[in-house]
Amino acid sequence: MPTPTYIPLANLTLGSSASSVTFSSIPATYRDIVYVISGQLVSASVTNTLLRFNGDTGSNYTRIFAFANADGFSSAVSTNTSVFPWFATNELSNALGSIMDYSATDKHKTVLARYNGVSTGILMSATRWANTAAITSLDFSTSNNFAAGTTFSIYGIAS
Amino acid sequence: MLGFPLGILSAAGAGGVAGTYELIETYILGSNQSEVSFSSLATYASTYKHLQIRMVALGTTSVDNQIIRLNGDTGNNYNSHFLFGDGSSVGSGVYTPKDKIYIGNSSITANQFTAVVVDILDAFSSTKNTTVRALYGNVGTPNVVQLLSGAWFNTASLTSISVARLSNNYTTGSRFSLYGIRG
Repeated sequence: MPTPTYIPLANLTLGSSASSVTFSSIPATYRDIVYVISGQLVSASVTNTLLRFNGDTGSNYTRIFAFANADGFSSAVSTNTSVFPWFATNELSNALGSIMDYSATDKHKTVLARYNGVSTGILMSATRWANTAAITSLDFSTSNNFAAGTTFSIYGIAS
Repeated sequence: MLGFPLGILSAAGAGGVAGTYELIETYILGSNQSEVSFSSLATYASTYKHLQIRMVALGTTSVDNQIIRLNGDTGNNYNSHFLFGDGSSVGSGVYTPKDKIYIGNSSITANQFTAVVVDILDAFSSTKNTTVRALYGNVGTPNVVQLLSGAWFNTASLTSISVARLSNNYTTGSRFSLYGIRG
């Protein structure tokens, strides 16, 4: 019997600028989480926003991306202290990511994501968090503040 | 800094409006297996417009391509293109032979499960060839992120989808879920 899923867990529109947004106490009810961010930063400088799981600020995230804009394309891989959920400026940008098997305890967690910015370009990425723990919190942050009006939506997908 | 605990949402049944995106079936492998098949899809032809496969998988022997075939067709009736980044370069191309749709490599390194989200568009149309798109990533061995497209040059409505590694098995714990999206 098919089961309705892709359930909205939270939907937030910032009323004022904020440096971080945390979704905590995420239940293990679902298998995947999808996040959607639409908005901008308060700075004109291109800034990588950060996504961390369970408060982990260690160098436990390896991420690879392919990026393209009007000037060309590039790819890089690196070990970091966060997922790379978004790159943004003070122009509208958006991100759509899947945190696969977030509630599993037998594997590292992989995030597949795509981003686009009005003038910054487009990007696809994969990130692996080297931890088998179930994810119970998502912490989105930036050094330049998310602007008022930026939206964060997260959904749960059952399996 | 803003914080939002979600536990209460779980207790309340998460509350959202649902019914357009539905879980049809999930396989979580209890032993090594060469292929996963979603069959009897004709049952859903009048219910859904599109299908999505979400999979997190690991192989047993050597990094290997992952493929899908539709309605059991093993003829040269497919085409697959890719755009990839491997950490140092960006490239694109077309896969051969054309007897399958390719959906990226899969790793064999412990914990480095490959993730793929595959969209099968207008899966039950009987007037157009079936097209597929996928986003795939493996972080470790190998390092690659890839956007793929596939076509099956047949206008038949889908009745089955098989997912396999090209020449060896998926391991225990690999997960394959099929979802239907109403039109």
